[in-house]
This record gives sequence, structure tokens and C-alpha cells, in this order.
Amino acid sequence: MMKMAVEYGRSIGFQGDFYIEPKPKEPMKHQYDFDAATAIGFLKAYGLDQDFKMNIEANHATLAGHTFQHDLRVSAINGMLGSIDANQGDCLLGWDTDEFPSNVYETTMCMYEVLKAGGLTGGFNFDAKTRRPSNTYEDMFHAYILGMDAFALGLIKAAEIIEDGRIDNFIKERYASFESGIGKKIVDGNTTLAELAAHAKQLGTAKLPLSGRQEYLHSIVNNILFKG
Amino acid sequence: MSEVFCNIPKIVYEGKESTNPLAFKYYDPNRVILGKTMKEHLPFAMAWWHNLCAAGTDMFGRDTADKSFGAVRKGTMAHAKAKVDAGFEFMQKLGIEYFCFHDVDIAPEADDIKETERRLDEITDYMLVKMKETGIKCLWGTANMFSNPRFMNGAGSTNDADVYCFAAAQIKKALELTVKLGGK
Repeated sequence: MMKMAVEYGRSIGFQGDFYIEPKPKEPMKHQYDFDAATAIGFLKAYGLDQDFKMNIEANHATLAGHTFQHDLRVSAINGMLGSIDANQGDCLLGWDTDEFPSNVYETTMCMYEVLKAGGLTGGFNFDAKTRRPSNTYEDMFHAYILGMDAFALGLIKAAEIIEDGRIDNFIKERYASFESGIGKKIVDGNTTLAELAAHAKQLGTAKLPLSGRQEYLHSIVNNILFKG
Repeated sequence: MSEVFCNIPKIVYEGKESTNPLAFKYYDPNRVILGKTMKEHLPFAMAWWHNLCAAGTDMFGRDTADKSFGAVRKGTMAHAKAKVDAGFEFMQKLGIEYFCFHDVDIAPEADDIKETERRLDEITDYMLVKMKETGIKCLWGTANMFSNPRFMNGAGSTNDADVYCFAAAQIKKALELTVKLGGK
């Protein structure tokens, strides 16, 4: 069906991306498009990966047991980040609540991924509904103002994280051992298992790698989020 | 056509000190961040289904919101057109430049798929007029292949070849409508 859809779409002049929106459950207990990794594997297995990209919905990522940021990153590193369904779920409830996005920590991490990926081919679609007691026309506007402001804040803060540079510098230092010597040979694919084993035996004992600095990194994010 | 959201003004950026509930505190469309405007970074889209169709029904209770938008009877083509009017006014007031839709969001399904497609042609003609008037564009369109009872065992994964063909017909039409509306 998907191959026929691509064939027909191209025949009538559709030049855009086809999107798959991964979702682990609802209505079924098991679904073929569980998360971005599963959906990308499916598309590659059936030769559809040149025509399809991911439409990542925040609430579907969290239903799959991932963060929103994780599924965005998996899509981006595969060159398949297409569009975003902008909403949020409720981890205490565990179903697809489709709430308007308000969590600025999440929108900041989302926009960090989008900026690093160079943007979307699609956009930010508010696949979100007002809560049942928010039943007036005014509530529809409050909801969109909330969502648009939350993503604007996310954009502002993600840009500040990138301009600040501490996190990106940390990542560069963390993987510095792959920029020269045996590490560079690994990245370039110019080595063998035998050569790597010989390298390890020559060292005899490995020193511990650099600290992960998780708490330091979280404090940088808080610092940038709340400095005003 | 009369204004639907009469008491709602155009929503503008007033800044973080504003306490006006009908103003942006952070979304300043023309502010430049890392070389592009916020509007360019954030191509926002309205979801037709939640915003213009969903009225609060869940498994515990009926609708709480009135989404008739002035139409006398719900589920009619007049109601579908009222949603178009309301949707475009809504997007204009918020400065949203795109919308997304499923086929069944924009026109009521008929018993016969041929009549459903005729309704979809009629409503998308009307949407095109509004798009030209306002400059608002279609981000993407899709086919709802889950709400109709025929899809109780799936669409592409159904056990029934006839149902599979109905799913194919909906995908074909949704592609045609998306191309007609210039979806990205």
C-alpha cells in the first residue's frame, strides 16, 4: 500500500515528503511503527526511505518509553527528521492525552535538536486539544498562545545553549579520542579487529574514560533556562 | 460571512511583562534568532481535527464545547463550511500560516464513498478560495483510516480485501486533495 501511495503521489505531481508518525500503541497493543528507530528500519527494509520522513509527536515518543528529544535525534541522525506534532503527554496517565505543550524544558530540548538538524522539511503542527473543562472559544486561543509561546521560549533557550557553547564543547571533548590515532582509524573504517586487539594488549590495562559530568550538564541547562 | 470569534482580537506580541491572556509573551514573529526570524524557525500549523472538530467527548462524557461555529445542524456541509470560516479566522488572528487535516475532518462522510469524494471536492474548492484570500497554506493532509467501523481490523493490515480497497481509495483521494491544496 505504501509503495502504491508513493507511486501514485509522484504520478500526480506530489514532490513533498511522505510522513510516518511513529506510535507504540493505541488503538492496538502492538504496532509496526513503535518508535522512530522501528519505523526507520521498516522503511529501509521495504525501500521506502527515500520518499518518507518521520513526523515525530512528543506524546507518542513518551508513550514508547523515550523522551521527545530521543526520537527527534534518532530521526535526525538518519536524515529523516521531517515534521513535528507539537504536544505533550502526561507520564502519570500513560495514554495519548494530546495536551498543548507547556513544558519549556522539553521544547528547549526539541528546538536544540531542530536547530542542530538545520530545521524541518515540515512544520510544528499542534496535534493537541484543550482539556474537557476548557470549553470556550477563548480557551482555543489560550491553548495556541501557550503552545506557540512554549516553542518560542524553547527556540530562544536552545539558541542560547548553542551560543553558550559549554555543552557542545563538552561533547567534543568527550569524544576527542576519536579525532586522532587509533580512534581516528576506527571512525575512518581503516582498521581491523586484530589491530584493535593488539592496541589493547599493548596498553595492558585501560585507564577509565573521562567523567560523564551529568550533573554539571544539567546545571548548565538550568542556568541558561532561568537566567532571564 | 460574519466574524465567529467576536470577542477575540488579533493576537500580538506584548512581551514577557504582559499579563494580557490574549497576547504572546515570547512569540515575536519578526525577532531574529541565529540568522532567521522566529516565524521562519517555527512554521506553526493548526490541526483541523482537534481545533475545529473535537468538542470534548471522552469515554466518560459527551461534548462540553460547542464547535458548531454558527451552523444550524452539525455534520452537514453547512457545518463543514462554517468550520472553514472559523478555522481561517482563527489562524489569521494567531498569525498561523499552515493547517493540517484528515479527509474526514473537513467534510462529513457519506454512506457511499463517491458522495464523500464529491463533498471533499466541494469543501476543498471553498478552502482554496480562503487560502488565496488569506495566504494561509496547507502543511500536510492525510486519510483517517481508523474511525470508520470498516477499519476495525485495520486498514493496510486488515483481514478483508474489500476494506483494503476502501483504504486505498481514501489514500488516493487524500493525495489528490493534498496536491490540490499545495501540501508540502
